[in-house]
Order: sequence, then structure tokens, then C-alpha cells
Amino acid sequence: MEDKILSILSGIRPEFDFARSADFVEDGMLDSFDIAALVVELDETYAISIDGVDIVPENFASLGAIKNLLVKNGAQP
Amino acid sequence: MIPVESPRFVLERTDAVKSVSRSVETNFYAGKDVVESWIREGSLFHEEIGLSSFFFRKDADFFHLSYVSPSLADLGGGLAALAGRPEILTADIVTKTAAETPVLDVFAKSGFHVYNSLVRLCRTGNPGGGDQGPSGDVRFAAAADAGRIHEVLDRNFDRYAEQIPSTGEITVDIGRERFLLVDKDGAIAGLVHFELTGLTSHLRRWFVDPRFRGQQVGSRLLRQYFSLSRKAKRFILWVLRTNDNAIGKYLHYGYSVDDLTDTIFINKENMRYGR
Repeated sequence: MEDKILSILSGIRPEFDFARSADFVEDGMLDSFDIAALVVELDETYAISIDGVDIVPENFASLGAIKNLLVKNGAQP
Repeated sequence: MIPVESPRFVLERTDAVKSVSRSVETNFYAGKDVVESWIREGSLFHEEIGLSSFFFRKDADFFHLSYVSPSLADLGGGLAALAGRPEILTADIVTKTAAETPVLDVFAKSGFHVYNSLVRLCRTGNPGGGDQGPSGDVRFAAAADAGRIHEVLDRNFDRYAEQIPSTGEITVDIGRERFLLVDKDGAIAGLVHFELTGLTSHLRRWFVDPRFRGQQVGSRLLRQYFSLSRKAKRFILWVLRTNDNAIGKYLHYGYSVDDLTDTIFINKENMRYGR
């Protein structure tokens, strides 16, 4: 699952190395518009609908946080 | 319209909309810190219409309108009820430029009018430059400059489309060294307002007083901006789609047009941009 998330992130912001960041938001790699694009990609890739109330920066700050978010919203690894 | 008194209220209203629909329509992306600052200022208000929650942020002589709606149909009903209000209401809708955007149609069919739009420009990679702070006649703004900066922004930028910061917000950003100035003849000849977050640098405003154009004030400011943002790998800015002059300059500095558009709607037809 983490490889696929990394691939999606790189598709959205190819100029950044997400594997080397501990906090994508604090490191300026994802802004609110990137997060909106990421939600669309994740919804389509995992055939889920991420809860609106879950769309907060901390849920997109790291690979672990995104993975937890996907699992919570019913994604299959 | 009632004042919002806690961030928790915003979450509760969002949850209430979410409880009736899994898919939520919204343009309310403000983070907790920002919401808290609006509540402290007493500038955030709320109204429920149908199943939708509308948030109003007071700014000068108008309100920025945000919504959380369970559906486009419910949003349209709420907007139609709001469009005829005496208050000036504006709403920012950010969409992919080339994508189908039904929410724009909902606004247009509910008594709101396109005021203008902003396009996002991006640049990848740093143009290089020194690693010092401001030099020559470029300096960081001081707290005492906040009022003058606000006057310059209010006079030269479009309040409905370009979100002019309050004097308080300017003071906070001065403290964070986000304003660069050049003074000439006792006036602000030019300024840059920027925000560096990790690897991304956001150029919020770049302005040169027409009286001082052609004197390289703008290029000195921008060089210092790039120098101070030397750790950034991505540079972004928003500019009025109608500002061909500025867009041309940004393209010269290596920016290119991104795929996001911010369409600004207003509820007063006679106040549409250019009228």
C-alpha cells in the first residue's frame, strides 16, 4: 500500500522526494489544493469515499497517516 | 447570521451536514489556527439554510462566503436565498481549469455572478542567487510599516478578488519576516509579501508603485525573494487572469500556468469586475 501511495504522491508533486520527508505538510510538499487532488486520486484508486471530516492536514502528513486514513475509510491493502 | 464563538461549532456544523450525506460539497478549507483568529477578531458568522451551513467572514465592506452542503441542489437553494441579501457576498471556488465544474454552474444559476478569476502559476526549481538576507535598498518591513503597507495594498489590489490582509495580519507576517520593502522619497516604492513553508515558497504579492517603475525596484525585490527562498523547490503564486502584464513578467521569471483556477463570484451584478 505504501508504494502505491508514494506513486500517487509523486504523480501529484513529482518535484519532491516524499520517501525522505517526515511531515509532507510542514515540509511544504502538500498544500490544501494538493490534498484535495490527493483525495480524488485515493478515492479512485481504492474505490472509497474519504470522509469530509477526515480531510485535515494531519491525516496527510506522512505515509503512515495516509495509510491509517485509507484503512479507516475502508480501503483494502 | 450568528457569530461563531468556537472552532468546535464549525466542526459540529460540518458533522451535521456529513450526517445526512456521505459526499459533502465545500469551499471551507481554513485550518483551526485561522478559524481561531477569525473568531478572536469577531469576524466569523454562520447561518443554516436548508441542510447547508454557510460561513461568512467579514472583510472591509463585504463578506467572504463559504459553504458546507450535502448536495449541489441544497447548495443552490441556499445560494438563491442569499443572493438577494443587501450584504456584498463573495465566494472563492478553486477548481481544475480543464475539469467539469458543476459547482460553478450552481453559483451562476443561483443569482451569483462571476467577478473575476485567479490562475495559479508555478515554478519548479530555484533560480539560484545569494544566501544573504536583504541588502542594498531592500529591507525587511518593520512593525511600524504595517499601516502603510495596508494602505498600499488596499489602494492597488482588488479587495474582492485578492484577499487583502488586515493590518493585524500584516503585523504578524512582518514579525515572521514575510514582507520586503524598498522605500523611496518617503514612500513605499515596492514590496514583496511571501510565505515560505518547507520546500514551497508562495509569492503572495509583488508590487511596484507606478512612480518608481523602470528603476529595477521590482527585480531587486524579486531577486531578494528568491534568495531568501533558496531552500524551496517549488514556487507558487496566484494572479488575476486579466492581469496580462503581471502574468508576462512571471513567465519571464520562469513560472508557468498551473492547472488550478480560483473563480470569484459576487452577489451584486452591478459590481462585476470592470463595471
